[in-house]
Amino acid sequence: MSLRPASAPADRASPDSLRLAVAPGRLAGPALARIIGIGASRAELPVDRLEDAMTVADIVALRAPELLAGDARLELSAQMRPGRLELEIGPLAAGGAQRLLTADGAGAGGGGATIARLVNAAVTIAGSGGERLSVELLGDTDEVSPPVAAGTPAIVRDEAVDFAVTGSSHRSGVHILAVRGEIDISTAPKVKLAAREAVFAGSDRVVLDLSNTTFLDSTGLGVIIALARLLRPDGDIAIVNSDPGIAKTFEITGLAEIFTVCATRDEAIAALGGAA
Amino acid sequence: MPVREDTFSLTEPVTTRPADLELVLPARPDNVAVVRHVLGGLGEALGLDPRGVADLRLAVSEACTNVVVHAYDSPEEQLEVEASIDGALLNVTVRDHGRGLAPRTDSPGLGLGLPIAEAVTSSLELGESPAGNEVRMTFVVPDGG
Repeated sequence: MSLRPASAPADRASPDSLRLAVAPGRLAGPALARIIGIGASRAELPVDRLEDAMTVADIVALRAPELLAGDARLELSAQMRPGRLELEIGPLAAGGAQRLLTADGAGAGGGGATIARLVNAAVTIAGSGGERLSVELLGDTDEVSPPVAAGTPAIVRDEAVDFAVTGSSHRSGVHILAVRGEIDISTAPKVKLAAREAVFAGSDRVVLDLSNTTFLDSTGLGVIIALARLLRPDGDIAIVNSDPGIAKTFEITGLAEIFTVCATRDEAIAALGGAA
Repeated sequence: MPVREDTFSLTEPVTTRPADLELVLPARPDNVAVVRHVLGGLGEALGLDPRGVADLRLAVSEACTNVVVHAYDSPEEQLEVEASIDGALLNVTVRDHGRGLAPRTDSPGLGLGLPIAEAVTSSLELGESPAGNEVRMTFVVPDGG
């Protein structure tokens, strides 16, 4: 892997791209880690490469601030394609791209880690505002990292993308819908679909179990209201929740008064007339 | 409400200092989680307790969802988020360059999003200007300044 000049700047109009600018300091590390972590997940990098990407984030947060051009903010753009994560870091002072590439990670991800050792390709991009370092991490390569061992998950899913709706029937006839992860505009349609399927399959009493739900916003509330409209007046819904944030959302909107919210699944089943 | 003399004009930038954090990403549903997680991490770094972080995550999600649902016809248009620390306050601006805040007649939502955001912020205001349509929110942070 060698540093070579790029003929053209990276395509900034690429649809699956994230751009971050952050003042160097205490906010840079957390912001970089999340953007690069989400980027690596979205690029479907295998678990070992995701860890490498996180080490790159640590090194950039540690070393880039001292290499920035003037008093610029640290800028990062991430572009994701299946099996490939491209990161562009800048604007760096003259020679900054090479120095960042070979800077010691000071223990980040193990001794002696450098961005040069972790990435598959790197280019320096010269511009009027300063240099940029562009690096690429590939998911499927024997050159840099061994293939993922059999039996280990191929893809690490972080909190942002770890989502599942599980439907099951309780012996009392109550249908259980359990949601793991975050319910927002991106995932709510999956909950809505599972709920509609349950109702159209004949369920008239539904427990929505949010015990493993880590976030719920107005889009999720919309799904719950739509489900209640489908079920009532002949059937009903009960909700299982113990998360204070989700409880607050119910309280703000007054929905805590309209829906039965229970601490456990057994209580919710009992509230719908089923014996736990 | 009468306009006070010290009310700033939306056509002028409020401050010339660049935001402490700025995110630009396509206004797609799956990117709302990206903003939520980055701002949540920022809130943790600023010493917010879990409830404060939950409020921040909820408010920015609602504001960003509003952009994703209402602002554009194309999901590849831009969603912009800025965050700046001003003493004990964290100011977060969610901006789009789309059709503005006029309600959509075919809106798929319940209209609960911004009221929820307002309930969990210290202040929330809406603005339209040449810079874009903005939702500006303020949060109190323990370790600001």
